[in-house]
Amino acid sequence: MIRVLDENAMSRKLEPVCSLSGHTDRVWQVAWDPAGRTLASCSADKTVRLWSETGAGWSCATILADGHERTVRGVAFSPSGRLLASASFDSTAAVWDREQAWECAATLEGHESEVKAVAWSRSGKYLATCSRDKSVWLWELTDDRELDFECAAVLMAHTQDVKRVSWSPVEDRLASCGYDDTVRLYRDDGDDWVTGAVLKGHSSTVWAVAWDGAGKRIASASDDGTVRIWAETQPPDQWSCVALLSGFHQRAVYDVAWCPLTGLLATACGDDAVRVFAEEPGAGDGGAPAFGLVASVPRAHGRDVNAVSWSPTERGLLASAGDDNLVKLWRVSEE
Amino acid sequence: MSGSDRLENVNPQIHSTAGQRPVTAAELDNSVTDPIDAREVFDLVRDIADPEHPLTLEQLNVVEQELIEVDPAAGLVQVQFTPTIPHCSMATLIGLSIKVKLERSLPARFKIDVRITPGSHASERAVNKQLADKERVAAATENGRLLEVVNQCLVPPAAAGGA
Repeated sequence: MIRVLDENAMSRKLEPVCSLSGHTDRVWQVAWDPAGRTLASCSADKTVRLWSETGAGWSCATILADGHERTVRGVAFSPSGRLLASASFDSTAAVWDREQAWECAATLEGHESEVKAVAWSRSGKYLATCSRDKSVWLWELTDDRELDFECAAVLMAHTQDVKRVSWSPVEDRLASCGYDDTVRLYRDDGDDWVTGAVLKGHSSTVWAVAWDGAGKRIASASDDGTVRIWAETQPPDQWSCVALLSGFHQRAVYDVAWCPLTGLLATACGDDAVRVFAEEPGAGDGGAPAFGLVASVPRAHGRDVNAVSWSPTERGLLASAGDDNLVKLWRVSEE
Repeated sequence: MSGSDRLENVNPQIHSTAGQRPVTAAELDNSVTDPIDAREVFDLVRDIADPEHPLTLEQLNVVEQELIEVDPAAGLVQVQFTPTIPHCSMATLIGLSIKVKLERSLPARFKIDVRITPGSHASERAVNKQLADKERVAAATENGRLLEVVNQCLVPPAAAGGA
């Protein structure tokens, strides 16, 4: 059942800020630097573009080409903002250095097939990569100046392609999700990286995972058209699904982003829409959260929306990426 | 493409083909937009070559107009295809050829779902899941060798030297 919702009845509006063109093929992901001043996008056109705002508005400041031989599927800035990692179908991850005019400073090889995502741990110590080869690799930055990376762990928990990796914002704890319809969690038990919880419930591929600002809950987005919210009911490894956002999305949900500033959840969907959900205060019994749809743009992109990402510094500012080769910026109006 | 020399389906049943659709006056009128319908989608996929036999998907009854659904207003196209035998290892490749042909031919606004006709294949769920995963499809079609095989299936029958 798909709920038919009146856009005018929504409590907030998602206003378009600008549309950034330049990529010559579908844009797979967008990521903000920690200062919220540079937006990175990556594409099937094999490049990464960096966008920033000048007096004249947002424009493309830099194009990172010649780093990958195939589609660039994911990008992420390091916590310091100095480094940018990119994940590619060419089976490598690349690390680019702002202090060297965005030169490609390192190429991480080892995965046996397409690398789908990259993510930096909050401490900046680890870079996680994941692949169709079913594994998650943890790379440790061993030399800050030479930018040397060493493989610290290879985690073989998933039974199929791993689509996304995401670190907790408060500790070095990792979540991954993928084609086996699960979300898996990992932590360092002192000696080794171990798999903690396995979150089951989605009936199809899980495309994305995102932590809330407090690092206590996880949102997952799936091909089954739903978003699930999970909470750690019994630390360290007992998690359960505490909310289900169902009936809103008409096709696969490709991305979910949880804003640490506002608590708003944004989703990217194969039905071309961007949606924003807010947690309803005091709803549900026993503290179970409830989320309501507060804003949506039905044709945010001319085709599938692949990614959404909240600005880390500007409340309500949201970036999106689509199969229409565009990157777009939106602003959620205040209540 | 498959490692063995023996065809999986040595004696496929060959079906007769539907004729060419008669062109109506409205279709010749350039000021009238022709909505995409099931027949048009069928016309796009009927001549796709089977990977193993010198026959088209229509001749093998792998695609039928009755198993194509189009909702032009919603921009949705759904094609069900029927592998000739339930353990056909070419099923994913055939599904991929149909998907690629339609993605190249239809306006970008259309969502294209290609699925196995329910009950006609042993690995129906697994094949459907692969075909529905646009990331897997994108990565696969970036693969030169696989793309070559798919393109071979998509060569028009006249250019391929006829069936």
